[in-house]
Amino acid sequence: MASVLESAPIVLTGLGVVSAAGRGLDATEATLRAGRSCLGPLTRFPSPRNGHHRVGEVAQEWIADPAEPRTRALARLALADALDDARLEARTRRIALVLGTCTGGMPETEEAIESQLAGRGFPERVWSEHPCGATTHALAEDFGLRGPRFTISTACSSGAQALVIGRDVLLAGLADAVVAGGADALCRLTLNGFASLFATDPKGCRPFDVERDGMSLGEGAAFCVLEREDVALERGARIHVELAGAGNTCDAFHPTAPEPDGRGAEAAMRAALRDAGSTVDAVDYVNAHGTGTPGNDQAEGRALARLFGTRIPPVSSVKAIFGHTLGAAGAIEAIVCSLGLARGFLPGTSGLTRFDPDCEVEPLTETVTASPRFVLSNSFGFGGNNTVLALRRRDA
Amino acid sequence: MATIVRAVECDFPVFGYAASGAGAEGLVRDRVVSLLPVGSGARGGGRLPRVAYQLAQRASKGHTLRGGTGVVFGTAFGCLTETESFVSHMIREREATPKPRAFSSSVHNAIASFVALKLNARGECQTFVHGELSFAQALFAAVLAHRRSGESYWVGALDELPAHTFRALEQGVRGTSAAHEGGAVLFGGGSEDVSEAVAGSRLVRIELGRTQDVPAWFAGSDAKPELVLHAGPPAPEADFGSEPGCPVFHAPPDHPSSLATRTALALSILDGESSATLVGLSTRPSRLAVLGTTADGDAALFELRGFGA
Repeated sequence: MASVLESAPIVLTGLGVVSAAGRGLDATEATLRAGRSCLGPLTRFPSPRNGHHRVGEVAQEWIADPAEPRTRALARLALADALDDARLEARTRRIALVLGTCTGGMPETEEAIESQLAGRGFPERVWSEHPCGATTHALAEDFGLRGPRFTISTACSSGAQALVIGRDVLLAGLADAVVAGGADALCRLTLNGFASLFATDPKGCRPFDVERDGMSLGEGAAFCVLEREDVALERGARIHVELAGAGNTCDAFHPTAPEPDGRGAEAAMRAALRDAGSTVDAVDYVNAHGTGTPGNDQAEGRALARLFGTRIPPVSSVKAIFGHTLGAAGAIEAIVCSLGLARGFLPGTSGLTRFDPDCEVEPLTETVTASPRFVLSNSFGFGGNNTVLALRRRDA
Repeated sequence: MATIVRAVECDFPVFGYAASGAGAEGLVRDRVVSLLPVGSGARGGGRLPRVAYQLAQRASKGHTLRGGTGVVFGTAFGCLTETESFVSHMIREREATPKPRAFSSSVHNAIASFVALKLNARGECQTFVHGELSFAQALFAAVLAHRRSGESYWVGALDELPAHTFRALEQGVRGTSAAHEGGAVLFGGGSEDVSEAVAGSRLVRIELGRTQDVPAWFAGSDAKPELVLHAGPPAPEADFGSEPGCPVFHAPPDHPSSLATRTALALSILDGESSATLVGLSTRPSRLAVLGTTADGDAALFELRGFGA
């Protein structure tokens, strides 16, 4: 039986993000503070749905090589920025890479199957991009990351789950540092898939609104550099926040719909608090999953109301700002929370004009200046795969 | 405050296992599940989810299940049948009438989520999608989760080979390593008294890294395994240097989830259900290792012991 070696906090020392709000922490913060929705018409590829759906597209100007698989290109931007922000020289340390993604090389797979159906055979380049791990390997090679590589896919909680696995990799002593996050590009499969479930709102998503009618898809990537606090301090790293805890549960209820009372979501939040050695009284803010679908927002609201009782902290959803970036969302929102903790604000819920009382919890509508010390970030995926991160300000 | 542990040493009891497809031939019939799932209990899911559910049922047969039980799975390619079905239909119909069922069943985590749904497992539910090392990553996550929670876990990996993929293989397209399909599921962890287990083994060590790490994993070990079952590109001995210091039984992967079926075979040999001669040993071993290496340079090692060892 293994022995416990020591205890130490895990901290985030580098952050990188790209989304419809732009590239980098400052652009993201400015958009959040302005409460500006970045949703717009779909232009990325031809589709009968062009003009009928509002999506969060990453501006093409950021993409250095348009021929590179889109998910990988997005991940490359965020990964480079996270390493740069951490001032971490990849080749001098054993750094692991953990990628969370839903679709991986799906745009290329669509192209491969289309080619096959047209009798042109499978183009090798595109088919070899289908496995999600191909993105991880390509990035690790390009950035000279010598530690183990992990790829995880738990639907819309993938990005948050990547941070949890990253923490495990550090705790197990498998690497000196970990770059963990998520990436997903818009593609026809998800656009048509969510439309087939009547889960997209043509007017753009309106989380917790009484007239909400679904999500808006987005694309993007975010990565965080994770280190043991003692290792980070020793090298003089700047510490953004502490990853204080995490909770994972499964609804075991339905392939796509959340359990209506949010029992699984509540259990995940309780698990994250327990893991962080904290209580509901310490929570200053909850970043809701808040997709804007009728079922998710109501279930999540009920879970929050039951967990916090009469003392509900500020809650908001940023899905109408970035769009729902699927496998990237949990990581992007971990960065949103980190920015709020480190720079002193709580984002509002863009798209919300008239609160739905059936959701039980009334979210913030406007971004406010605040001094949060301890926050939760919720990410819930298809299949009831729930992940909650607990993040703490360094001086708290 | 997080707890730092070394995952390389662990104590994860395995109470049951089952396998499917290529690589399952060495197991006794009761531990093999068809890749053509049957039975009303498996209704509602895609092909791989239904096979996974039947494998999980078989692996935990005879054990009391709790609501906190977790499901951790791996798959290199995911639910390709449903992915191909959805995308093909979408293209043929020019995106007019996409199929919702195929979409929701196409996501990689549909396999683990279906098992959790059918078996009411409300603990951690994770899906690793890292090629031929997906099972190793699932096992790693389950070991650490077990350490935190003391709960039981189904851990497995599955991959399939539907029409488009098969045609791609026929064309020799890179990215799919073998023209077979299959996988395995094991049931382990928990806080039960392992001495009461009627069969099974325990995982005592797990390593994850790169192929250049492999020699260090074997160097300095006091108690060498009696045999290393290796799944990966041929001639790993060149990478071992003078290690591992014990025989290596090498066989190329049957499919992307071969590490899972190879682990099931190791458990079966340790249990005495399968003959040790299948891997070139003359007597039943008490300590086996399973090594996975990939063309991408990933590597994983599990060390397993029989309960009596």
